Amino acid sequence: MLIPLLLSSMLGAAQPVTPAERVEVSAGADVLLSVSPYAGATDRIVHAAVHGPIAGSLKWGAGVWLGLGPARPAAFARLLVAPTFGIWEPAAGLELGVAARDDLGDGDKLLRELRASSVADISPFYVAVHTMPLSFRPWERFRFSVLELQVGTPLTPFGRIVRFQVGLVALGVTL
Amino acid sequence: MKPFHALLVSTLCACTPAAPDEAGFPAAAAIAREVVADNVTRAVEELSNGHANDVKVSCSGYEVEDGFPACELSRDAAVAYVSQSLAGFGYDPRVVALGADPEALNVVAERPGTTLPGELVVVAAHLDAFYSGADDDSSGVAALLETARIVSTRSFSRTIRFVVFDLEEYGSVGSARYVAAGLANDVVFAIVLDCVGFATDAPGSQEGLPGLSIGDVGDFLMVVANGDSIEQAQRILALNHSHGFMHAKGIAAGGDGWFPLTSALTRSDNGPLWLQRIPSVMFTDTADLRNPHYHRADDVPSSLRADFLTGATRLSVASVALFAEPSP
Repeated sequence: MLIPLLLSSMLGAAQPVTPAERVEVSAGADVLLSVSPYAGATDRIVHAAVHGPIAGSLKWGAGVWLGLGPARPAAFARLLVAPTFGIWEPAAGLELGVAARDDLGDGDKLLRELRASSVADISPFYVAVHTMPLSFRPWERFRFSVLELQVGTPLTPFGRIVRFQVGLVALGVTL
Repeated sequence: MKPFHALLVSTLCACTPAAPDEAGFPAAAAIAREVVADNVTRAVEELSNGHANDVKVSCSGYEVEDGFPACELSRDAAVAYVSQSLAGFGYDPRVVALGADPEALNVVAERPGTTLPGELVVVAAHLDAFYSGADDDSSGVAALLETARIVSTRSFSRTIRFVVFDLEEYGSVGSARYVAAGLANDVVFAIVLDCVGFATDAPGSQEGLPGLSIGDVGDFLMVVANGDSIEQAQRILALNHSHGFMHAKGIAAGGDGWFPLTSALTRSDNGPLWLQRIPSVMFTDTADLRNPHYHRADDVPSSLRADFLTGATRLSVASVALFAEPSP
């Protein structure tokens, strides 16, 4: 998805400024699935974010999210390619963040010590690919997005935990 | 060289190393010829008999799913048998008790190295077993004991340590505690023997891993490695190929091997060693991917194949000799 969006971004660089290229604040609800070799956990989270233009269809983003199970706050920064096709404004890019350690729970006694050892050295810093394939702006100042998809992992040990995040819905308003 | 499957998940690994250094192969192979098949099969029978008549380990909290025989685990008779056997070979075995609920009773003995005593080559297996536990893991313990017998008669540059872990079946408890206690810090290479006695020539007898075929016939020993031990695994496979101990294959996970999609490769005592980035390989017949008696009451000595077990033991001895380096 990144390559076509990047090409679109380059082609769109000469077009007039649109509402999508202004600063926008948004909020939404997501589901997070964390998977490690011997454990998995799901969590409901909410997020708030701000996005703004860099050049052409390149955007920066920053925000926070908060787990609703065990309260696990995180902060993130994003670099997105976000071209505009009429009311359709898909986006994709990289996210770097810092999050409280993934809470995979104690789980069953079987494998518990091995499981604990395997997540003892997990870095709080993570990297993720974030996509917003179904993002639409039906009104000039307002945008909504459903089924945002994110796949991420702690920076170290890279890949020990894989985090799948599905954005259920997000609403944005241009300032 | 035999096939070496590379299972890459999330990270890249060096899967095409230079041709293995074959120095030391003839000497290692010569030592491996000292394996006496009857010693190994007799040890399996005695260990299995011990398990069948032993008291069971407290299983409170481990009864997690149907079909997992948590309350059929035993280890006391094996602790005694292993200690007695190692003492009989001239070692000074110690029971290293670690943790609680239940306490893990690892049995440890070593042959000090002559010129590099601070560098340890470890041979490991696990002494706890469900039911009779012939393949899982009396076969590995028997191969370890025969390796220890042969090692006891020779000198090596590096120290060779035999560690027979406890409570592997409850999630590598004994090895996880051993590593966490810092007792493996000086280990330069480890070979874990877990299920090394079951083989069959029947077509369709071998299952693969998700997304990876490892062959259709369960007649090979699998050498399981990660990115830290792939070169050692390549040398072992080359050694095996050049001296024909048995049919063996290799499989490696990238990096430290600890990824959600490769968790099947960390499900033995190599797992905690991999977490500490200690180069380690596991020798296995792939257990439940092949053996219909896995974790069942019919995992008995008569279900094993003596030639396969002897071959695995020879490869164990040869590998230990290769990495510990025989002294003149």
